[in-house]
Amino acid sequence: MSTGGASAPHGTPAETDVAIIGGGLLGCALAFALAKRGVDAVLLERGELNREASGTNAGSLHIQLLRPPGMDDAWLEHFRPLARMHAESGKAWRRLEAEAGIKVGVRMHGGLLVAETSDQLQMLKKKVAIERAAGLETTVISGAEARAMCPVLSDSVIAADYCADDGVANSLLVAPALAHRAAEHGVRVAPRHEVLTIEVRGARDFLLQTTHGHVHARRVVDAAGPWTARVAKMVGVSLPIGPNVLGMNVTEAQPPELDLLIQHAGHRLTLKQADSGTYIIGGGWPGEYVPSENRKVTAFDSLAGNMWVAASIVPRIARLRVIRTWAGLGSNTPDWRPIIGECPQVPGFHVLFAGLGFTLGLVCAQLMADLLTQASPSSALAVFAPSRDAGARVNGP
Amino acid sequence: MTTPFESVQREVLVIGGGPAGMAAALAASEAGAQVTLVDERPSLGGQVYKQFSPAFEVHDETRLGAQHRRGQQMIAAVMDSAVEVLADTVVWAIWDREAFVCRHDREVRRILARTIIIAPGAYDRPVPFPGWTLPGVITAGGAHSLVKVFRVSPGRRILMAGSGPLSLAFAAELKHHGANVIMLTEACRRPTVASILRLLQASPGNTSSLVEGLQYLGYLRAHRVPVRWSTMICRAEGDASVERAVITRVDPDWRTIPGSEDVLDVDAICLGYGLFPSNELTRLCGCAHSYDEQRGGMIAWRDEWMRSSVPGILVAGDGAGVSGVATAIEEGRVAGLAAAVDTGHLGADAATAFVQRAHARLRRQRRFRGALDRMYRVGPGVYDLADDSTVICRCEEVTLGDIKAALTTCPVDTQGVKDYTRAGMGLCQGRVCGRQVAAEVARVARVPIGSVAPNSVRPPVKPLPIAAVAAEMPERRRPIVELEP
Repeated sequence: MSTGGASAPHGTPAETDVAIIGGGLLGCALAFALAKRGVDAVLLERGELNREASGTNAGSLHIQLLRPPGMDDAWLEHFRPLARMHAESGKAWRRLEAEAGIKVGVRMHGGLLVAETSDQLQMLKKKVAIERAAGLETTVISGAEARAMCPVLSDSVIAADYCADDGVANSLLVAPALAHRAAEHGVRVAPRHEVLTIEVRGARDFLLQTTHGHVHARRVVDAAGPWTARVAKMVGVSLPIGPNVLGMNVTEAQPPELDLLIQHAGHRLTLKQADSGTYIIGGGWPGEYVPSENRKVTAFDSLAGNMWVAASIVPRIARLRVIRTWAGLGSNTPDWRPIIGECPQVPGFHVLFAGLGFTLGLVCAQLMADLLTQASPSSALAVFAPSRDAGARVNGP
Repeated sequence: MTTPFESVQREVLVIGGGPAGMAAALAASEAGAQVTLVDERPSLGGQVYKQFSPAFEVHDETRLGAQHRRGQQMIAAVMDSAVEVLADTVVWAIWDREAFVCRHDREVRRILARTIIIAPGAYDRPVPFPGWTLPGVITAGGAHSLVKVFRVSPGRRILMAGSGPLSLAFAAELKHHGANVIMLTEACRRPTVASILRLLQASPGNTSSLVEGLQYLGYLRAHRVPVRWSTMICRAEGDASVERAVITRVDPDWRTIPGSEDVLDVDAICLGYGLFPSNELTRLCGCAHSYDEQRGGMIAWRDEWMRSSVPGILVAGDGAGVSGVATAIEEGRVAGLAAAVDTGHLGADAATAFVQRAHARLRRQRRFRGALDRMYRVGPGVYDLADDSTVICRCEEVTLGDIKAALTTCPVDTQGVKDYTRAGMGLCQGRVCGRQVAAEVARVARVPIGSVAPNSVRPPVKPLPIAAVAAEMPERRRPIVELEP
């Protein structure tokens, strides 16, 4: 594929059916899905593939529902339409390596969302009811059961929501591997092609001006992650997507001692041990952004707080050293739902945005591929339509 | 909620207790500035003025040499001054001119300074070749510490392999301390009469350095330690540790000459191929850098007051380009005066006169250094010694073959190699493998190594004990950010 080489990639594509904008997980997974169905497509990425949110997140596959911190109990109702998508995501990740013929560190050994207070336990119970109704296999287990399953857990854990489908994947490898497979199936993958303008020349007739020539496309899919709203604005569509910065941390390596994904019902925490033996610790603690350089900066308070939460749930973490922190962009919609669909005011212009992008990315891309290849769109997608009233842009969780 | 971490404000924070940092701290403090000096080692001195472990008693100071005495005097001057010294203190991050330090591996403190002088020094250039990860292969700096601080010899039969004046000095010093150095290999050519004359021409005011060098050579000759010029180590062999060193002749670009190999029975190999500046903090702060292979790689840009491109951040000494102890002291003084000016303790006019005199001395030193660097030019062959099975990233055990394979599919940059192979993701965060990875990227991209961007530096720049930094913090919502226009 044309991702290699520090020089300009060869052959700027001129004509295509589908132009995908954004070389993150969504764009790459969509490219692969379309390639398998024989759809002519071009993937345009302004930098290198996978360098933003898809490659800078911590690689958690939180299949069980996760409460965004700071939300009241109404969040559960909010998330009900998403539960089925979470269940489907678990299956999609399990199938991924065999289906795509790639090795990208997918390890689905299950996960625990732990509770330390009775309030947190009550929330878990309500959550499990919704998850089960949607076909998501989760169970509330006691603190003792959780520790039997995961001996490194603190005695302060009184209960946990166990989900066998939770897991991890190597976020550095997934999207590039899918792009590579897509390219093998004929999709033209074009990194270092920034889309500068999109001219709507008619229904299903777009002219994209990039930094390396023009692309003429019948349909456009905006999969630009945190920049999705910016790309949509090029065709006059306004989307309520709020980008924010979150920090991650990694420790020195240890022998294998934790194979589950650990999250917390009341605090910001995702914690797991990677294949390399390092602990990757995140959970959505804020970082800062330097717009002029597109630089994301970690924050001291977030490092301190994240380490405190991690060490209080897995005490042996306190004996280790953190060797690196980094920050990446996250983004979401006010109603926490993905945006998947065609914009009615600009026929042919599609939006593909997942919010909880890594975990839900495969399924969202699959739904978009279905939409692009089916005669009539599925009514199930109505809750994710770009034209729905998702509310005004709000702060991240 | 107030932060549980002690936070202090200082006028001037100096990072690094070597010659540059001590000179800077003294100059700023003497001008009346309130100065804190931090160093990660338990005692001041840095590498070059490293003191004995306190377990040893010194009976005869005169035998320790002039350099040691100069170091002792400087350390004593700092300890007698108003400078606040925090030893055993690692600066692991700087965010907006606030330094975050960890003391004694257990206590995180924040120091907000009006001016920060970064004087972190340098570390040994890693030179990967087959067998370089065998026990018994150590850096010259490591050997120096073993011998000088702990009075332990790195082996019974030692090969000193490297290039440049430091390698020569170390070989002589090791021998002087009683270690059995069996040979010194120097990658560069034997100096010609012409090159020595050029050195002499560049030397007015620097003859002492030249004399010192000739003394070291004489010392090795007198003690029957052979010096092989145009020679490099190309392989270390042994089962569990080093048993043999294979050396080879090299051309002026340090490319090996086939068929010229020689095998030596040794149990220790000290590598002294010069130094790399510790530029993690200046890179973390976003200071502008340029590339100079001879002075160690990426070096921070500075004006004549040692101010970097980032306001409030000054840089002095080998950490801003390897130039040796005399230059480090001059630069440190200038930076200290600049800090005194910036904090209002000294008029710019008063300082300017001194800084002009300092720059006259610095110019002389740089002329000499330039001539020396031409004599000991680092050859590009330094990046060609490894074979496909040689481990390049020691932390993550990534071989050259792994890196080459990744570069056939990943984006041709250091980030691509890192993402695909994990090279640079370990404890040292690429300090050891970074340059060799950059060399491979440069090879594939057909660009000079200096134009290959190294991987980004992120806090902590040194491993940080989690117990020291963990603290309950409010879990605020993430603010929406406006992305770049």
